[in-house]
Amino acid sequence: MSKVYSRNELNEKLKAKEAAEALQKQSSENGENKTIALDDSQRVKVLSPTRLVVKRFLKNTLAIIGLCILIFMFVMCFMGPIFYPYGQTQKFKKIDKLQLNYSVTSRVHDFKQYVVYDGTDTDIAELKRYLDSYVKDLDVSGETTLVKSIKDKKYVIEKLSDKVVKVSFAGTETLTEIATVDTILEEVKGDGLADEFKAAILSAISEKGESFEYEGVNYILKYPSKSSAKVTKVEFEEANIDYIVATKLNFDSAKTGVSIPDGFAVKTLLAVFDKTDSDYIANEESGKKEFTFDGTVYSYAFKEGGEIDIFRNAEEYAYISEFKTTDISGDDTLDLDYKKHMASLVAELEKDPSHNSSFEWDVPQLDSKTGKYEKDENGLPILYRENLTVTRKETSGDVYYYSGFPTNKELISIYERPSWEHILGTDGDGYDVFARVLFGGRVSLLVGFVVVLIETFLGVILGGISGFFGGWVDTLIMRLVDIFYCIPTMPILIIIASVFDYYQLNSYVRLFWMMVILGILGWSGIARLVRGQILSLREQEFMIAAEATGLRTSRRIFRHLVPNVMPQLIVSMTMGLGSVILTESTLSFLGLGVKHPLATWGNMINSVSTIEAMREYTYIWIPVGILICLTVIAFNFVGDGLRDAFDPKMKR
Amino acid sequence: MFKFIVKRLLLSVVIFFFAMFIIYTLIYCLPSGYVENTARELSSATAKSGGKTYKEWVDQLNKEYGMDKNVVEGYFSWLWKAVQGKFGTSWKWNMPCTEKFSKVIWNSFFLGLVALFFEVIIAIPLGVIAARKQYSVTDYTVTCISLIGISLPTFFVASLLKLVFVVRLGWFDISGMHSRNFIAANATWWSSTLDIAKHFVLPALTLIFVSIGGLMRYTRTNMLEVLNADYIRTARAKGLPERKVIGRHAFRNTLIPIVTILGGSLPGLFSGALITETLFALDGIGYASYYSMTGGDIPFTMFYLSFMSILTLLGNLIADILYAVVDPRVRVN
Repeated sequence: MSKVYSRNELNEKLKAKEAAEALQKQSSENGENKTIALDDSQRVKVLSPTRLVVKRFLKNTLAIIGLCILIFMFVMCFMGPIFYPYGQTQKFKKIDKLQLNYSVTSRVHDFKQYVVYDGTDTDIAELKRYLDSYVKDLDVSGETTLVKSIKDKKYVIEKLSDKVVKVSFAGTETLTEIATVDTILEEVKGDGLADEFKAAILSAISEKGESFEYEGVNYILKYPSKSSAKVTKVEFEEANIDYIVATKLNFDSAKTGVSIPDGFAVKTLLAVFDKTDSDYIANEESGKKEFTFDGTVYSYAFKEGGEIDIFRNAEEYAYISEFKTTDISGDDTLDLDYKKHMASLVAELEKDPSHNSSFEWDVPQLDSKTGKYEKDENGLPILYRENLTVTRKETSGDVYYYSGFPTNKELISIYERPSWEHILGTDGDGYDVFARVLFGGRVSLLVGFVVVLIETFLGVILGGISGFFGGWVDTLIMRLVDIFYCIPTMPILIIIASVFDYYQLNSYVRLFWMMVILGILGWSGIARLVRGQILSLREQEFMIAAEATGLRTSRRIFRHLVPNVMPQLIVSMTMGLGSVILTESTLSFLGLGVKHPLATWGNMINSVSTIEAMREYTYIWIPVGILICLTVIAFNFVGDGLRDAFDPKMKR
Repeated sequence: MFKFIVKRLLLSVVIFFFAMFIIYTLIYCLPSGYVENTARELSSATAKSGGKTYKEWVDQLNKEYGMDKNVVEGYFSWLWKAVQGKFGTSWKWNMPCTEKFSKVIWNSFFLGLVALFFEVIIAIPLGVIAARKQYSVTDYTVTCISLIGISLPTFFVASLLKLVFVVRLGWFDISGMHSRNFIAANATWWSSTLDIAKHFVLPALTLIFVSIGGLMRYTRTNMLEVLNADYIRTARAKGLPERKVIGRHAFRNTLIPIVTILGGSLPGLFSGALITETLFALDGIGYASYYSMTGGDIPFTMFYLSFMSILTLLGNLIADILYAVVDPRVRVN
């Protein structure tokens, strides 16, 4: 229209049009007597009601947008999980380098006790228990030996060196009371005592002595009262048996994983430190440093730091030092070189804390799957050159030096940022967020559909019966509708959910019951709608015709009336879907709906409800929230579009 | 008219009776283990301060709540007490239900009132504008906004508002009724009110966001209907200026359904906003009842549910009456 033709052009156009019309007329006349009837498709193009609705629906932009969103959601949620490689409860783990401790080195803080005597002396347990306090007594007094008696037995605790203590059984003391003395009358009462002995007793008493010796035997005097004294004979059966050797030195075997036998440790300690030991005496005399154990000759050599190297057949057999180095796992997997290195390093660090505390060493790596050290086919650990760092830690007064290096460790990858691997990142449990979005969408949409179907089923049946029969049935059902309309849905759902919580029901059972309850509580609206429609429809002619044909009542209701209610029903179902999804997600958000391992959109937002999570992990909850909105909006758009399409009068 | 109101009122009473019967039955049917467990928790919670023992709690429950009778008898005994206003003592809040109610109800009411006020002054003009310019950009925008408003889940709106105004901008507190450094002793009436008002902003915004769409749509639909009516055509035909056509003829007629539903929603001001109040820890009836319900506080739950039922019935009644009052064309029979 806007184009302005010149007169000539217009004439040309008109001529062409007339010619075309003439041609068309001619050709139709030439056709075999074609009569044009009123219902001829060429004359009147009639669209079926369904097609009309579809056409009107397709013209509505918003409805089309909604439909596209819905199709996208459905394809995503129901097809997506088939192609998406991850599950909703698949925990993602990653292997990362973590500074883990490898070994711990410390001075030996407590005496390690070796029991030499393997007899059945019941006092050994007591000795072992009190040994530390005896050593303390020795330290306080500054002496090297201490005699302790337990009951009638005497034990000698002897400090062989700063780090080695020996306990030996000295002998048994037997006390027998042989006489009582009246000090005033100077009368000795006793059986078969020689007069010289009596005189000796009296002379000792006159000097107020505590003990005296007579013919090589010791006697003790005691004065229970002023006028009397008691004479006790002391018989000492001497013995000299080594009972316990305790040491603060640590024995390391030259072979990794082989422990030093206790007997060997005792023998070594005695030979090196005990001046009464036969080997020690022999060494003193010969100037050699060797001892025999189990028929084998071992030699030893002191090193500058006080450590002792022990050789067997000129081969290093064991190493004794003040430091103990163990693998952090407790297994003995460290070789002697490493232990020696750590010992010297720690000694340096003790002197000078600023000493360089890192070094390179060949160490085994942890297998990230099993958590054990990687091993080759021979069962030997595979070694890697790593940079180890030593850190100092003090626990209850004892100092420990930990050495560690970046170790492969399997970690749950929580709150990972979105990446190509995880489109929306991972959540606090290491689950893939996008996978949960897909599965959660499935649950949300499924809940929506099932609930709306239950609602519609109940609503159509009750509304249909009510509208069709009228009278007291109608009144009854409508009052029932009023009653259900009056019951507040959300509180009831919350109460039931807290009962579910009490029973700790399975997630799927909860889901099922939630759908049933939502359906039962929500049918009243649809019943009202169906009844209203049927009330107006049943008065129309086609229903009278249906009755006249003699159709059954149920057929008349469900085949003739209900299909006429379909348009309104479909619209309200579509809108209802949106609101059910909202209700479900709200319940799940409150933690009362579908429970954790099972994902829904609501509980996904709930899992980041703290203020920190809300700030830090927006990439988890905002997309999910937007998805909920989009789905509900789409249902509303489509419902709106359908309403307009079914009933254009409404739109005008 | 009077007859109609009386009839509807009686009907409402009957409906209330049966609705509460269903609710009572539901709560009566709650597994006894649940109730006993609640009693056990209550007794252990109050044991240290010399509270009631488990046995006493169970007995109290049975006696006060008619659990020792059968459903029907129990219901009648509850109803009889309820009619007298004796709803029992709330287990959760350790005070009579009615006392707790009177403490919190005004918070809910003011929240609802503020939200409704803004809702009305924003939604109605927008709805009218959208209807006047049907199929225009404005219309599509308003339609879209209203549909989005309907579709937004409350908790998502609340979370978004918290993210923006609390976390990012830091203007408000995340929840509660008072600021952290608010000291009741030092506060004057004015500063206290101001402090509380500040905590009402986000909940009110949430409510407005969520509920504005429905009213906007309703206004638009009704305005469209009126604009297509014959009398509007007549008004235009006789040459009235558009301002008068819209203002005097169309809008007034549009007000009929709007006033009806607004009147119907007035009792709803007292019902509180269950989700919003809970999310913002606003001490209203919704918040109190949420924790009562999840905590198994049966007396308060029953009280709240009966209160809600009454409000719903009252809303329907008011809407029906208003419909007849506002629109003289409607004949009551």
